[in-house]
Amino acid sequence: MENAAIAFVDLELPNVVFLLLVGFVGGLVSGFIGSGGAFVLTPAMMSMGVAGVVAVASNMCHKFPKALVGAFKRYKYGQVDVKLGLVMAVSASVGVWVGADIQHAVKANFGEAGSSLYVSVAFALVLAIVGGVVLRDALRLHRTGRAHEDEETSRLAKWVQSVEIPGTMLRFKTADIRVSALFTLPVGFATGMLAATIAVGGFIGVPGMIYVLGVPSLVGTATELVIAFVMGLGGTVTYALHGLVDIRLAMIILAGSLFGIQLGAIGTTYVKPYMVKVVMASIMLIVAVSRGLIIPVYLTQLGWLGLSAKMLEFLRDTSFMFMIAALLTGAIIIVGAMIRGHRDHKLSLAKEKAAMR
Amino acid sequence: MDMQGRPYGKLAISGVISLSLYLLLFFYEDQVMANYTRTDGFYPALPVVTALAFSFAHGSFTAYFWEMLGVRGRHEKGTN
Repeated sequence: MENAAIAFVDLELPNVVFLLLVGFVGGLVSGFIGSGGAFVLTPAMMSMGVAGVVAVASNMCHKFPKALVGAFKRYKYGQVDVKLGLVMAVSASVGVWVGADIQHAVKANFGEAGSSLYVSVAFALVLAIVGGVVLRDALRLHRTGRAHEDEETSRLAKWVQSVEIPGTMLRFKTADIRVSALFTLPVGFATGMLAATIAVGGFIGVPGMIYVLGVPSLVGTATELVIAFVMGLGGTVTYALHGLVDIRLAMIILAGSLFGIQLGAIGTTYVKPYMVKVVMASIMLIVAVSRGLIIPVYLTQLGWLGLSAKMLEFLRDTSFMFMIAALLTGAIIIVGAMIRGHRDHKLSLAKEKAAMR
Repeated sequence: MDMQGRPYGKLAISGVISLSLYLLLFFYEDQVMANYTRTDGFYPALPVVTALAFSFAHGSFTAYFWEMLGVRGRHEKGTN
């Protein structure tokens, strides 16, 4: 990673406006489910001519201050388990190192296209599986009419919490769980591995905390912001040491995303945990489709498929549109749920007042 | 909507600070890019410190912005 050959782009107004908007929507989703935005922001910057490594570095540099603001806001709502976030972040950091090593090995053996293929397959597979699990749970809650009740702990998490391994037990106050570090370690490690591979560790960290450790959804998504802060800060320092951060891009995205993250965090106080699962599942599954669509492009680059240039362009464009659709779908569900929640809250307050008269 | 207790003053102050930071960043764009991509000495700390400064200033501004519009969390003052 050297910056000698890196040319930083000239900023044009349409690009700035686009980054502000994507930053806002990404922030809104992050404030609500703990992560999101990076999967659109990095390719969006690259399509503007920003070098891939600078796009990743600049995304990191907007991620940690955004996560800090979001974590602080949600801490005020009593949703952040700082200790859990830090414990997860430590093992996630190890996961990042291992994930990055695997990436380097794939790139050295199969080249740029092979590395991109590996990332896309990992993206599509992990998101399809984890998104499918979250969607199944959300549908089950909806079908059984328990969507608006408080959530219950999964069977797996109940078992995890029942395992007593002396000397490794950790108590997390806000999450209200007591589990062995031997269970938090692999969840954190997987979060880091995914973060190093597809840049969105939260897509495994949050479901892992909810379904494996038994952390309530709202606490899980809020705690993910602590993990994102630690990892984003570490990533920024690493890239800054190589002079790869474009501070202008990072601060433009931050300008939009801080409006979004405040709104997303506020939104969590008006919805039931079920809604968090609906948003997560929707985004993950649409992104999985987006990444699935791009796989034939890399297979062609590797010479394993023979698609025409027109078809490749179509797949690339459709894939990017799906990414944007994922973010917008999440944002629309969040805003809709917020408005409904706010209206219900006002109605119940009015009823209380009327009853007191 | 209850217009009392809206943080107009705080919004204005944080807004001016945030806007000033952005103006400085883009007014001195060339110097900023030249120094912020240096890899010697303490220069790599510049992006980190800058991001933190922006997050405090702009983070406060955005918080007051939504509060001024009456968009508050369920348990925050002004909604109950």
